[in-house]
Amino acid sequence: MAFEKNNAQIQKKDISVISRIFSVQEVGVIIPLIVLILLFYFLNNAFLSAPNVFSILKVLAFYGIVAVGETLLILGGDIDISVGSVAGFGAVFSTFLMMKFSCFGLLNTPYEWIGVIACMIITLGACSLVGFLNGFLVVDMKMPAFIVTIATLWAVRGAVMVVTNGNPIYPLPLFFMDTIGRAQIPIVKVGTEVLGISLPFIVFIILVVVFEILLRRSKFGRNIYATGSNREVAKLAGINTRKVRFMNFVIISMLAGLSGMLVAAFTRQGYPPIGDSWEMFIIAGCAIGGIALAGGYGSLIGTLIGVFIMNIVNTGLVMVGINTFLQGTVQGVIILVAVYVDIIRRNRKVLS
Amino acid sequence: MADSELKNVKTGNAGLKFIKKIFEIQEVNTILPVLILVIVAISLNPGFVTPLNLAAIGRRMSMWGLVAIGEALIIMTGNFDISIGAIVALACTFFAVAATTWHIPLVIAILLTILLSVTFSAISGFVVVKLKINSFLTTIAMLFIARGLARTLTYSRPVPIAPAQGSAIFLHFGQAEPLGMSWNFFVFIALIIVFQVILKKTAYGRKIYATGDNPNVARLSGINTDNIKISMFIISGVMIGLASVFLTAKEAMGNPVWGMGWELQAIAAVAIGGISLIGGAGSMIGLLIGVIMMQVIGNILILLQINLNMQSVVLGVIMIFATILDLKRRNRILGKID
Repeated sequence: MAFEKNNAQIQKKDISVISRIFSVQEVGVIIPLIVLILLFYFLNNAFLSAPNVFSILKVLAFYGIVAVGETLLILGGDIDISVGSVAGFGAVFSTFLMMKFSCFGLLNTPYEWIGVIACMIITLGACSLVGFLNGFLVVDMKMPAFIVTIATLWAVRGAVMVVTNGNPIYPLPLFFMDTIGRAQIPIVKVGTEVLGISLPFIVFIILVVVFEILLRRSKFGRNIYATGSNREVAKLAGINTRKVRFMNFVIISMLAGLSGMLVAAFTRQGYPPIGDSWEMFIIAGCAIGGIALAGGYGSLIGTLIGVFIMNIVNTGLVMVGINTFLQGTVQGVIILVAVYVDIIRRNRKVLS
Repeated sequence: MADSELKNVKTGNAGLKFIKKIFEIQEVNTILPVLILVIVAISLNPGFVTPLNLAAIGRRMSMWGLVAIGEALIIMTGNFDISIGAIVALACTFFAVAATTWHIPLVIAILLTILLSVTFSAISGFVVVKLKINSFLTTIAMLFIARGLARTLTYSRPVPIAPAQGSAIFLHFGQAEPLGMSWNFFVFIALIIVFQVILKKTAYGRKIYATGDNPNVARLSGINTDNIKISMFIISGVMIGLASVFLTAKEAMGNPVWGMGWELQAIAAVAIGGISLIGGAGSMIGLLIGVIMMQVIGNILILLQINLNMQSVVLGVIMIFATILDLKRRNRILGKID
């Protein structure tokens, strides 16, 4: 009798584990990802070839780094449209510092790397100022985040274009181009080229892991969720929502700047239009990943999958031979379907 | 407010009441910056007031201003539409392709173009209202879809309309300059007046405000808020269709890169014009002022030979100030009611 009871309990536990796995919000998003990968693979086997996979991972990381910040911000109930411009600002400002100030006199010396890293750190600081401005206007002046960040999108992009006249900044320090731009963990060798996991992708994964743990396990994360789901209640519960939102704005601006610098290092020039129209791509990635735009619901694993889906569709359509101009259309349809499915799933969960 | 009015009636100070009433209209706050701007412009460059320049401002603003009317109506009911620029591109290229490659008679092509943009906007409206997906997200998706279709339709190349095969009248219509303006300028002004009257004088207009102000209360008081919201998207679609036909006629071609940034320009004009970005307040006169202001600023920057890229910096800063003004005004009105 006791044994049977025990057995039943164990069975119950098993079911609950399985149902728990399937009730995890990310599973709903990972199925379309797998379906898409298989679909593209069957249509063109080269889709899963090493060069293609590593090139997808490399490109995806640039968006992904910013998407991490955007996720934190959306979870906290805000939104940032200015990320693309801040990325362009980061790319141009860092390369400007490196070349105009010759890495503080360390250019072409053995200590060049110190100068380059100093320039990058200063750039991160400058980018965080944009975040502070956004935060000040949204949080303290109580303006709609959407409008404020459209305004900073214009202002920052305009300033970048005015200063550079639209001309790219190059050549860049060798350390920046070759060490940072080409750094990777070598995995396979195809012909003469060594393929591997690029530095931006490593940074992206580290950011996802660190912030995912913070979101789930720390006070920092719980405060973000609380602020996003109901700001008034969070305030009454003693959470400093102002600090939480401010911090999110600063974090995303710094991540956008970092991503811009990595693009500059990879493309070997500080090109002013870097980051143009990233915002839509990144917000779409977050939305596909199941981040509720109203705030308070979602996770970074979801964003990771969403960014993967957006990039895989982009590359896959090319490889399948569909008119590249249709990419946008297909992405748009995917966004709508993904968001709608997410809403249905969430409603069902609430009902049950 | 009621007290002060009563006092005025008692003292019979009709003039003071009139002036007070004028200054309580929100547009007065937005027209002052325009006046200041115009004075600055004239003092910096007298070329600003030449009829040629003023006509150019009028012609240019009425093109994207038409689209801004639809955007303003959508914002008044508490939604956003980011896709308007992309739908303009799709409608323009569709029209050009229909008129040249497919040899569809012009009148039918015009109707089909408007039908196309209405369909796209109506889909956005339906998805936002019935499926309850955030309007911002929905229209980002529609932006991708429309821009992608426009590029696919023309292989990302502009499609010129040759002045032959009966299109000559149409092109002449698009490029005509009655009274130094263009026809779409008069259409724009007429539509502004029509919608101002609808908003302020009809039951439908009051329903629009009520829906934007508080959808729940509006629904409880018997307004079909879903229909109101969708109808705003449909009106916006008609505006986009009209603007696209005018634009195609004027430029004698359809180009899939047109309309980029129109949505942001329209939203900025809405914000400057004192239309609340949360919905429920504002007027078409305010929008007209916002549109004029945006165009005048662009014009002044060109006249002063300032770097073109500087324009977006200035617009960004102006947008922030416009929103701050909007918030201050709303707080004051709310304070009064309380």
